[in-house]
Amino acid sequence: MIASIVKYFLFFVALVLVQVLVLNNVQISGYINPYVYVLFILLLPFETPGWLLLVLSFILGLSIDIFPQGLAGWGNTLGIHTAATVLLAFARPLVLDWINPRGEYESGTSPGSKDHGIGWFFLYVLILIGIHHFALFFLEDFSLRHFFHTFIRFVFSLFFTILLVLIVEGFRYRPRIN
Amino acid sequence: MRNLLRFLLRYNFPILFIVLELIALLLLVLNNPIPHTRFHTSIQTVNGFIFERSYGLKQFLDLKHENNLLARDNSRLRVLVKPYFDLKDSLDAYTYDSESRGTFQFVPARVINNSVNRQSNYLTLDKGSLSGIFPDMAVVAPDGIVGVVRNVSAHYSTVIPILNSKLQVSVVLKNSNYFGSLVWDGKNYREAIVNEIPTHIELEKGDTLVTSGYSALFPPGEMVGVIESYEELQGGSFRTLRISLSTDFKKLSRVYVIHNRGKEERLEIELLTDDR
Repeated sequence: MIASIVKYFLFFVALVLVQVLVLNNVQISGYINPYVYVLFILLLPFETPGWLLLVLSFILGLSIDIFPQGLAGWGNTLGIHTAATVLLAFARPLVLDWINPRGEYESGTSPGSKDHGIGWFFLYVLILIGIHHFALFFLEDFSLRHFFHTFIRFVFSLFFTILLVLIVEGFRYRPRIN
Repeated sequence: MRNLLRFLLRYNFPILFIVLELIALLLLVLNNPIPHTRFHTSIQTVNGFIFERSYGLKQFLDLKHENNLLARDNSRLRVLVKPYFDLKDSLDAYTYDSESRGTFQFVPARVINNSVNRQSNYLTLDKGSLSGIFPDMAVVAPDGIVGVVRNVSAHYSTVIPILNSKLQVSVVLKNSNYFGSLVWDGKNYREAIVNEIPTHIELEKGDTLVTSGYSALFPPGEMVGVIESYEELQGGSFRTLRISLSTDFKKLSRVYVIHNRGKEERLEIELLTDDR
């Protein structure tokens, strides 16, 4: 129990640092901003209570928000990542119910390609990160005036975040090939 | 109280979600320059709108008296000026018409009811037969023609504007003197159609159309509008123009009712000729 809390805590810190120190400085042609930190919420165990999910995602989003974002002169984004990540945490149980592969999820496990297959994991990640990124980019723009431009940014960034998440997943386990 | 606690416990997940999301959005609105500015700007826009309206209303109330004076003055000046134009026309034609001086009289009136968005629109004016207004008199605004008086009571009169398909007005191209008839197609209150323009005349976008005076309703030379577009030649002998009306019916307030004193005499002799 303690060991897994320490493990998740270290994972949390590592993801936040990677996000704010490395990925926030990656902005290819103004379109691609991968946000891999949400992986923390995605990989929490199935039996994590709802309130803890929400509180952890609030803290996670706030940690990302309080760091200066990206290139110099970008200003802070206080509240944007928090709002999007809390929304992600709210959606997680609903999405898990929806894409349930076979009855109940086994207790003591966490979402991953090892137990549920790469296809299930991809769908899970696609829906939830999609929700998160959509909220994030439209909150950042704070209007629908540049809808198409924002939508393109959303799609490109979603693609790259999912690519990175799948790479991380590949390092965690050897993907099971059916 | 226990029920409330049970409710909170039962729905702790959505309630906590809403609370945290509201905190996040509050942080977003309070701390970020773009949403902050946007909120501020919208509040300013509302303030500005209210201020502008109240100022406009105040100005309008103050200027009402002034407006009346100006309108009266205008009508007096139009009566004074009209004979000179008539005189010039008569000199051009090498004729002299002693009776044409002062043929047209202008009665100022105010539009008190107006519609532009129906197929058959009507106006109401605040003057009636006591001010010398009678059915079939022409109505013009400072920037162009308006319509024809339909019904008259002692203090009010109704007008069929050109924004009504029942009314046709004879108009003439100012630079070539060819005439056609103006009708409204009921689509846009800023535009109308002119039919029966012969195909052989050269047209240019922006050419001016004025009233012809052939119908005895309008005095000749009142501004009607300019050509917006015209259909390409298709082999017939007439073509149709779409014109942009110079009168903005949505802003219509001051109009002049035109009394043509020679009209009865003219119609009488025209009828006589028609009967043969």
